[in-house]
Amino acid sequence: MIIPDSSHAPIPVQNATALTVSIAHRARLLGRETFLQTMEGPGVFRDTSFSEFAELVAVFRSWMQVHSVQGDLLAVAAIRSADTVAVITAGLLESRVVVPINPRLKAPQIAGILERSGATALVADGAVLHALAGGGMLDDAARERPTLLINRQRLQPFQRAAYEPVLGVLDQKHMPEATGATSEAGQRRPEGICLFTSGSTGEPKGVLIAQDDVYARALAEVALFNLTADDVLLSLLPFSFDVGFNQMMTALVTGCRLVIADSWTPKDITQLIELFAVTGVSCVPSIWRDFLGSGARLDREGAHRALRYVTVSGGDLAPDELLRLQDVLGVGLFKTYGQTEGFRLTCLLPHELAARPTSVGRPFGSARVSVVRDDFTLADPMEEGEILLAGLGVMQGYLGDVDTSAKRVPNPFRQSDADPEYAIRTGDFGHLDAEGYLFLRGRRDLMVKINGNRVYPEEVRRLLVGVAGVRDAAVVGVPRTGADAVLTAFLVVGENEELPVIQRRLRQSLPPFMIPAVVLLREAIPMTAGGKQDMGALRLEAEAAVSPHSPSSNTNT
Amino acid sequence: MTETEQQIADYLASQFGVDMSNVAVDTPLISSGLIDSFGMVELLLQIETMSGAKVDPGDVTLENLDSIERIVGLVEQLKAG
Repeated sequence: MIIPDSSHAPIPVQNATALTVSIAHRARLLGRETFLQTMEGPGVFRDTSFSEFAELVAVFRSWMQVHSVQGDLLAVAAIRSADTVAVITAGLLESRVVVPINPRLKAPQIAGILERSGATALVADGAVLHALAGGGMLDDAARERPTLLINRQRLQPFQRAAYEPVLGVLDQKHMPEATGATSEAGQRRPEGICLFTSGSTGEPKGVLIAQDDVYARALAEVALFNLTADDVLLSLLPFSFDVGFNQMMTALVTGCRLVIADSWTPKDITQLIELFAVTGVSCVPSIWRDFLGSGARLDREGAHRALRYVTVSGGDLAPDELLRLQDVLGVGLFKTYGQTEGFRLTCLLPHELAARPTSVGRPFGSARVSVVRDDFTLADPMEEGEILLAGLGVMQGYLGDVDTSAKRVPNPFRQSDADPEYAIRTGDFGHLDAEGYLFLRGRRDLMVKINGNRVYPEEVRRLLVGVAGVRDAAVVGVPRTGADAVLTAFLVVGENEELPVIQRRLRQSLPPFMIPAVVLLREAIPMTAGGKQDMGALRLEAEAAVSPHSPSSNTNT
Repeated sequence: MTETEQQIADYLASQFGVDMSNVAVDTPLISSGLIDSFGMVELLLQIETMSGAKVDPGDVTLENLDSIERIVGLVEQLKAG
């Protein structure tokens, strides 16, 4: 395999027009060299060259021109693949609002997002159609709107029989010739993508991000990680999650290789890094925690020498875990913080980790972070308040009639037209230190009072995972009327660990008001399809455990 | 399907809500998107229950888990010690 010479690499692109030119340019210059490598099964990989990718994009653009108009919402529910990357790219180039849906969601959730988003067209694969059919929702979801079947090489024989006749018109052979023309009809919207947040409470909300912000955010990450066309990024996270989406965009704008894999096991990740000489991995804490638990270690002198960086995104690890992870990976860790509404906006750089392991770093790109008091005045350094995000990548608003005004507010620190117009209220509490490093305490709406102390479940969780014998933890504060909230901890402990011993250690290492009143042992913490702790499910369990009808506290199940 | 294969198919149907009626022993489960990689943790616990042995982290790969056939292979390998 020939690795593209970086001297051939086009400069990073900043908008849809430049991306169109860049894809054509790369297809011509780098033609048969590999752009995407997709794991399609154990040991089975499919390479997609630059020119094949350009062809896929052209085919999907022509489908979109026939079946939708500019500004339409286009739902993409499919496993990550060359097709999926090409469809999303085509959607951006055709000025559709792309709604990536996690294909691992259950049928009612997928159907719910389709319904709520008002998507006029659907791009889906066999797995998603199978899930919808199993839930009796295929007709409503797929037949109600033009549906394109992608990832067809991965269709199982029974899926082929079931879906191809239904969606026969979608056969790519029968599609119109690509014209490259842009539809004149329809209303142009500034939004490029719509990401649905799972949300710890309530219904998922569609977060609209302007197309300009999608590109700007990708370029900021290119600068942060110093990406060039010679990089090889490992894609493990869904495109419906801002971290996964943004990583894919950085590959698209730099033309670096993207290795797409669907296994999160430490062994598979280690092998993939070796096999493809991966230089960068973006991941969530739960995957890294598994990695630490497995005893895996990278060989930085040999098999894994290409690796330059990894990220810990979408959550945090305990200081001890971060240092151990840095040790077993032997590579720089970038810890990022953000929200879907504001993308990733701060980052703790590898060399900053040792001095401030509990910080989430400083803003990068043109992002601005402030900590404000209740009256929106600027808090002093070290003074706690709500975190406001402004600038780069901030959302346009929520989709539909969801009220945006409580989340997106006029930027209180705007002095000139050059300053961002809006700021995002994160709902996270924390402080900035004198050097401008951000520290998080937790979600304001999850904060509970215990013996007069403000306690953030997230803060307790970070302390718990630092306790010897505790492998993973989740914490829920269950409010009670007329009494203090009950802190409930779900713990995953090491083999041969016993609850009384663990509880003794908790009493030794946590302040009294942070010691969970109820401790439930679990084999694993339930996760959402996006890789975050499933707080909805945990909250229900916690509420059941502390209800007056519950047999006892300190239940050990 | 053998008894062990059927046991695993039943488990997948009940635990993951997957419609198993068309799933053969060699149908890819994870790489086809039928079950998600989060499901792997629960699947491992089931494999440990069925085999009565602990799964080595080095054995936790797509290779060993991606179809009923492969899972049965892992279970039997663990049983054999």
